[in-house]
Amino acid sequence: MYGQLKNIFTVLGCFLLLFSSCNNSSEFAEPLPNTVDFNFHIRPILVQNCYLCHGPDPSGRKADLRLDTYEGATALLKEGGHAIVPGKPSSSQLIYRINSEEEDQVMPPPESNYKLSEREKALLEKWIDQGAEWKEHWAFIKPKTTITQPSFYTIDSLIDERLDQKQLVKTPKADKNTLIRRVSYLLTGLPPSPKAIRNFVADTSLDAYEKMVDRYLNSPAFGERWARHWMDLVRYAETKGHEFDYSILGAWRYRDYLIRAFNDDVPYTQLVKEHLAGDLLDSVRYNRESGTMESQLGTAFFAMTEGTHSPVDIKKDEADRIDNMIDVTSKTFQGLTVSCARCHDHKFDPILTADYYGLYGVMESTRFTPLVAQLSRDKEQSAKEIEEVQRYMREMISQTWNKETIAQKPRSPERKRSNPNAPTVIGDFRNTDLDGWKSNGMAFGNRTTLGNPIVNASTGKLLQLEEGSASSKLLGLGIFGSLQSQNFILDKNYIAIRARGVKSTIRLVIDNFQLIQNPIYGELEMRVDNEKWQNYIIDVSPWKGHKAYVEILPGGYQTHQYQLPAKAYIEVQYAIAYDSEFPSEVPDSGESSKKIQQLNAQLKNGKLPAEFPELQAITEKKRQLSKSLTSTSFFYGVTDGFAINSPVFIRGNHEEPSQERVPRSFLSTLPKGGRPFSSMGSGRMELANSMLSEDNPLTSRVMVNRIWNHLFGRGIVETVDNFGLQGKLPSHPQLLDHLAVTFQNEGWSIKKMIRKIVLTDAFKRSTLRGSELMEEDPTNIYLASFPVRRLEAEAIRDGILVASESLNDSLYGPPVATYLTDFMQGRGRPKNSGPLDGNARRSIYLEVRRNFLEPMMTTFDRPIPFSTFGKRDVTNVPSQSLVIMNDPFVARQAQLMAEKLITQIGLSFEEKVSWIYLRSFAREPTAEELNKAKEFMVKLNKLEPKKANKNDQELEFWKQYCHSIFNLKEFIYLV
Amino acid sequence: MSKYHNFTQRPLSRREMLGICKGGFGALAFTSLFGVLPIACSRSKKLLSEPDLYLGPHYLPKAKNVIFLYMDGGVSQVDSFDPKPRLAKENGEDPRKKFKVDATQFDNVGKILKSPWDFKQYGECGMPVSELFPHIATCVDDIALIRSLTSKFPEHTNANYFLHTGSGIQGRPSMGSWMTYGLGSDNKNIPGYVVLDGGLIPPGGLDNFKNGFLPASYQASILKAGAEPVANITPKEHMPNLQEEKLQFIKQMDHSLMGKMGEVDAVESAITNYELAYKMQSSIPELTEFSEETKATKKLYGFDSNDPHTRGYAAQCLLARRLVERGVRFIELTCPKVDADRWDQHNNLKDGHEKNAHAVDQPIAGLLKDLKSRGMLEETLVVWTGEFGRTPFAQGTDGRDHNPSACSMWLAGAGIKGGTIFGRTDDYGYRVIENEVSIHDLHATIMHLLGINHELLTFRFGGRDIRLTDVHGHIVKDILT
Amino acid sequence: MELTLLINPNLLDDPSDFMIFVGRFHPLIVHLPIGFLLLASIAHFTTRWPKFYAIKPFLKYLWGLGAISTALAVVLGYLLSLSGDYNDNTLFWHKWSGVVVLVLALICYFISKKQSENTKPTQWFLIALAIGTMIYTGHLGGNLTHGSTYLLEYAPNSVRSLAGLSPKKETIPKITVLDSADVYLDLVAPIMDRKCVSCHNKEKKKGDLELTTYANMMRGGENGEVIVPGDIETSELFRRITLPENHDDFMPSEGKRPLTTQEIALIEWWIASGAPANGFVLELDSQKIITETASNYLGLDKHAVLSKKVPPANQSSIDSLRDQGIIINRLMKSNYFIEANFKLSERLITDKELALLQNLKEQLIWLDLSNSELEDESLQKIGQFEHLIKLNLSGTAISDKGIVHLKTLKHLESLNLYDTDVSDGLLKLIPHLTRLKKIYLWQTKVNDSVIEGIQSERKNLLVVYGRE
Repeated sequence: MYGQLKNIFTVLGCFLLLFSSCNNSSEFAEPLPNTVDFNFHIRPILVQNCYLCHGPDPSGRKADLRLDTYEGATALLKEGGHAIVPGKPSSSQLIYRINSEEEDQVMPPPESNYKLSEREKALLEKWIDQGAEWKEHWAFIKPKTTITQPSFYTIDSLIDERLDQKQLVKTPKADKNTLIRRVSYLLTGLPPSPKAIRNFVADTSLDAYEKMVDRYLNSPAFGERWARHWMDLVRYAETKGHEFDYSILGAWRYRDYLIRAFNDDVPYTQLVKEHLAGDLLDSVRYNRESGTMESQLGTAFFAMTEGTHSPVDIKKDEADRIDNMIDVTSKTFQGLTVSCARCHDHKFDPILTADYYGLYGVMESTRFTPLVAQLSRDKEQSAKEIEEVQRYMREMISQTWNKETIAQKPRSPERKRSNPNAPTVIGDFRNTDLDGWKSNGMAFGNRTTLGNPIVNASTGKLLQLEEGSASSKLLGLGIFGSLQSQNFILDKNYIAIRARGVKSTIRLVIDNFQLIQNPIYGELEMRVDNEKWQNYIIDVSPWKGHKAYVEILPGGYQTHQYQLPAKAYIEVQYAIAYDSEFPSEVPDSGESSKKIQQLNAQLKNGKLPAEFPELQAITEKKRQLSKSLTSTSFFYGVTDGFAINSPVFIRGNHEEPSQERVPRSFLSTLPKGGRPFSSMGSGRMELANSMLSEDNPLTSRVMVNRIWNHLFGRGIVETVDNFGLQGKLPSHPQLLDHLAVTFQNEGWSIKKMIRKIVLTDAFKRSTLRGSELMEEDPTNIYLASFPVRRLEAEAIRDGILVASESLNDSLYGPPVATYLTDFMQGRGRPKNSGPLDGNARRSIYLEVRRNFLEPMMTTFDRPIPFSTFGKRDVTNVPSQSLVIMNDPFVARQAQLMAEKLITQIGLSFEEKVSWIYLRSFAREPTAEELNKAKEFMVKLNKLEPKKANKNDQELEFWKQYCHSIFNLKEFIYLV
Repeated sequence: MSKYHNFTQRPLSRREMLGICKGGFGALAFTSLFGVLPIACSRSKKLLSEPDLYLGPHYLPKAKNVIFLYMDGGVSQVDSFDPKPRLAKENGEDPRKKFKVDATQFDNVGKILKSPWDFKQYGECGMPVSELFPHIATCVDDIALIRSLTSKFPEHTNANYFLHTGSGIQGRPSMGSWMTYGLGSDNKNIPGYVVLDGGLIPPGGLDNFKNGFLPASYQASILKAGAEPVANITPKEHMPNLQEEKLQFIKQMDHSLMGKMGEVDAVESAITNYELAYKMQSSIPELTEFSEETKATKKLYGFDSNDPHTRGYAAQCLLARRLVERGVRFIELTCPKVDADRWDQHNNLKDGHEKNAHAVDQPIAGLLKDLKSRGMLEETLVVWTGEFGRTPFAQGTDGRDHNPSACSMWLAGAGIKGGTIFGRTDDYGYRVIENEVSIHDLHATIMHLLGINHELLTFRFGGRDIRLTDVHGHIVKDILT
Repeated sequence: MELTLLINPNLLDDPSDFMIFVGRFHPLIVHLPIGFLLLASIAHFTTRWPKFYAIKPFLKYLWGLGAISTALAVVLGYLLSLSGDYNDNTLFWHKWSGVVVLVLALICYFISKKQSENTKPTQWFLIALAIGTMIYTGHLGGNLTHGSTYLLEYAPNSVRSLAGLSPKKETIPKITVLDSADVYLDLVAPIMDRKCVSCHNKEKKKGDLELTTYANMMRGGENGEVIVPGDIETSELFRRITLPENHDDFMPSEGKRPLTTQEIALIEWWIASGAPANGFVLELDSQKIITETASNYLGLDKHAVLSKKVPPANQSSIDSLRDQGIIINRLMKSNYFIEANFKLSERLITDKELALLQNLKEQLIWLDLSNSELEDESLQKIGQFEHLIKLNLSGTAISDKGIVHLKTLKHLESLNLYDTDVSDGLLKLIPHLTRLKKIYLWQTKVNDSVIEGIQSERKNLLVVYGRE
């Protein structure tokens, strides 16, 4: 009522003031909008101040009131009345509470430390007055654009629209030198070469700029720059951190994969598929030149989680690992912070714990494994041929013997479960089939050896038929592959595997824990290096109740690096679990193996013909083929296991699982979400498809926004990794949607998108802004000018290398070992330090050791690789100055630059300075700068003790000068 | 905005203000220059509508600085501050018969093992301390002992991350970063968060001291004994004034650039940055220059010990005092590399613990006494702790394994009630049975003493306003004055 | 036209903003008919005396004015009612009694028009009726805008009870000295009022519990008594307010503001000491468990600087001090106290800085001048910083000559004189510093006898003068 009265009097007052227009909003910095929009004006207020207690999460909800849904907000309150009565502010409890003076009434409560500004209160009131219209969160609405005929100018016109609204004056176009430096750095991370500069400046043709842009888009350096951007998202690292910082096998191959992918402009959809399910694609992507498989490499990003050394609670370790995988996956591809739903429903976004554990299942059914690094089409081909050959041999023999064929595969009959303490058979390979185990890679093929002829290579004489066993040399030696059992719960004390082999491994993987070693886990991995059949026994009593699977591997791990020696092979007859002592005999249920034994017997005492001349040729062919299959280089990626649906961990506690399990599924709030995945495996393929469904409102938006962010230094949505309710609102909503739609319509081509943006006037604007722009738009949201940007760590280092003309621009390959200073100590420190200058390779090729990160990189804000960082900080700390002032690397490069300079014969002083300026600032020095340089030299001359050799003297001077140049702000900023 | 200025180092231009508050460039420039980020800005929507931006303590602080004495590897509580006669009685018996034994990292449970050291009572409070720490024992009346600290992790690395960052996983901001983020640093020429590397970087590496998702300005600077105490701190120019000439030149050129560009916060502050860096070059070496310290002081710390490790750690402790004098906010000392690894005695407990204890005992006592006599202990909080305790039963025959369910630690100085003993463990010192203090509680208490409300100091990351204490933490009031 | 509106209001189910806008002039206009009708009636009344006969001819105009303005008020009122923000019931009566007033006013107008003597009695009756209804209507209108309790909020209790309202609560005079503080009236009751009564009052009475009076408190609620004198454990009330906040039984419920630790402490102590209905805090708290808390809660520890509210410090002085490299920090969020620290300043302190500090003396509670070239004279100025709680003068050249100036620092709790030339002078100084808790005298000219002197007279003073 008081409110009502106040209003009446306000109106009255206005009247008496002869209708001199006066409305509440005039008190505010920014006037109230005519129509209050829920998404842009109201929701931010609610999220910021109310949702902690009145949001989607029921656990912390107060007074049973939720303000995140219309129904909730308008529902009848416990104490009577409604929080919001559309159109009637005065009867809306919300308005009453936010304006209340009494400390036990006012909302938000004082102790919450939140406080509504007068403007916010006014907004809420006006919004309710206007009918309290509710809208879905903007980011969950599929991007639409009204622009039907997008033209070359669309982007600019959309930006200009906002500028006009704000009455901001655009800055003029930047000069050519600035432009080429800007484009070159932002597209390739390198400064432009003097030649390129001259050409561009000289080129007066209309499309000069366009040509220049295309040149950089097509240079291989482009991939290196944009791959590094992507690596921030997937917390790229080459070691596992934690206590001993073990290496991640072949991590660098993923880095190279990215570089190639960006250079080949692989469609973003493809990139997403390959990351999430590169190992499951129907049509895999092969590299154009080398013809080796690319797709699978994408999955390596899953394997870049931290690796814990001997965790005591192995299940918790898995939970944390998976949490990180979910965190990175959801932020990177959807710009959503799903991890917040680990312990309770998301406090702000419509993301339920069920959603979280829907994804948890997906990750839990995914298995880490080494994968062959260069897998070529023809390999797969020859693998098929060999199996063909073997089948042929078997059939031929059985025909000539006219015994009924043993080529076809009788499934081993169902095992009858006798009393519970009887041993359980985990796998039996004495028949033809692999008993439901998963055979990854090629080594184990898709059947056992049963019945394969053993032939004397020279005579072609048939010696005997092989008995049944799963064998890694089914196709030949040195071929990679692994044989994995299904998941089972450890319910018996021992697990025994009957096996034989050379330099090979049997592993028991509990809760997907891979860093098997002492203390605690040493016994879970057994070396098989004996050609006689043996029982390999693991005592698993400490881990009863955990889930596990058995893995059979030719070769093995050395300090967690997989290696496959040429001679290595392993064969397994069966795997069983038992409680007390090893069973006297493990009954072989199948028929066919007995038959083989009989045949061998007959063959032995000559009852069967053993002469098969044609076998010689065939075996030879087989040998040839199998040679081509051997592989020696691997990387750490993932493969599909068997579907597991996870229970919800109550309050995130893995020891408190819920009764029922959540089916694996995609986020229920998004299109295609909430539907259980049907696949037998992890369901990563379905996950990828859901993200890429054309109705998904985020995938495209998030990516174009990232691109925009890398080019303009700020995304249209500033919080590039969070499009949720707590994220910032887009500064240019239509523009964002326009770009998102265009991106989709033009084949998800990243290069095309970049090109579009770089060709806009907005991108070409000068950075020089007047003081009034400073006042009106201090952080340059509306892009009246191009923002001043500091270069990233990599660009600074690479820029120095280019300036000193010592950059080694070779692409790809293993990382350059980290240069270790005395300040980098601790466990897992590599024996030897890498070279000071990193072999002058680009920074992207420097090793990323989690526990020994490159100081220069971290000092200049390269994020610490533990989660997704789509936007880097730009801090400004003395240690940065100290690096460029005193770091031996920088000094060394200055030296080199000076040396290069004075080898230039017959350059005048001015020419020398401009030689330096072109390389450092992509421009000629001004007269003033030339004078400054002269004065500087004179000063040095006074200081320096005269050197005997005039050359050394000059060299020294120029060195000091170059070093100073590196220290100029213009060097590390794009101005 | 008037209130706002009260706690920045210099008045801000409106432009900077806007910058800061929009979380833009300005913020970060500001951040790094003054090691202070306007806390309110983590909720930047407030900024222009709300004049009451506030930095600094939430309420009147007791402590201004923290010296964190980290006992790497985990000191055995039953051999240091938590005497358990029953161990002697049942020495050599099978612990499994006495109580439930949790899984341990080395999973090699031996017999119950009595402490090889005797305990005596000290001070007016009569606090029992073992023979391991004869010197620290003389300070017990200034010490509040907590016998009930627990961790969540039995592995070094996770436990270290947990102790240092409040989270068991890698990559979170360490407490030092949080403190400097919340309070800033008084001294502009020395970083506000310093780790004195005594020789052992704890398992988990430098990530124990990193800024995590906080701006890089808040990461620890590692200080080492030796010619170059801080990375890149010594000019490489072969003549002193040569560098000055260069900086002079650089300054000129940069300013003419500014002239061209008009004011740009970022570049402006990057320039100021050089002046700071230059000052650091001189102020850091001055720190490690002990000549002005009296013989008596050095002796007190143990400079004249015949044990090189004692001498080494003595230097670190003295350095810590000098850092406090210079207004450094948070100082952590890591352990010296004695020839028996860290406190992590999985075997040969007697030898290992004695070596480690001898290295740190006298210097720490010296530090406490020196601080007290100068009146500095009143404003300085000294924290002594490992990442977890050790088992009362042997690992093998003569070692002890990790034990996260009970650990003894102590605090001294600002706002601490000297001579208190808080918390109790069972008769074996294996599990806490009274007044458990979690790592979160420890953090909450430390922050409380610095005047920070641990529930209010947050930073928005990954869609959450994250705290050092996550969603936990209770202040341990009983040990406070 | 108004009639059609009145007869069938649903013509205007969805009122245009303009109507409501016009409607909102109702509160202004209504005062016209009130004025006119009263005036008319009085005038009409006076005409009984001959000397006022002269007015008679004008009566009709007065009534006319009254009628017209009433009509206007009715119409506006109706329009305003369309906004629907009002209690329907009251509105109904207000509306129709308003119409009645209009009718009566018109009637009076016609009566006064034709001055027939015979209608006199009815005439008087009608006038009285008109005025009566008008007053009634006005009252309802008042209730509509100000709420029904408005009128009698401050009426004497006798009147309130007539109106069937509960007696208004006595606003007990603000306590000024702890000695006079009553345990229930000054401690418990206020806490209840601030945190509990909004739900546990006569009207709401949640859980059938009323916490408005001592008696009701003791009576308890639907689950029996909530306070067991002398027994905290079984006192439901105490259990509820000390539960974890997310607990279902936690009070105050529904996210209302919980009790502060201070308030809880007070309640706890009150129940523990038998939940007396009255009695002086000081007497009940013989062993001084709660006294400090209580006096702080009542804002009585006046002598403590920290309980003073100080204005923001003068910015320009702060800035110019900072330019000298002097560190000025704010020390708490709720108040403007600051510390000043010269320790890191790379310049000498001159009187200029001290002068600047003068402008901050109100806010300045910590001052660190250690290792500065401070001389005895300057202490005179420092003596004027009366709010100082902590003062560090260590490592300066000051002596007994200077420290005499410090005796004005009534609030000083910690004084650091380590490494200075002070000596016997302390014996004169210390007695003045009644609140001093810590003093540091290592490496001064002070001799043991002085130390003994100090300690003997000040047991609770911590004197640090050695190191080993």
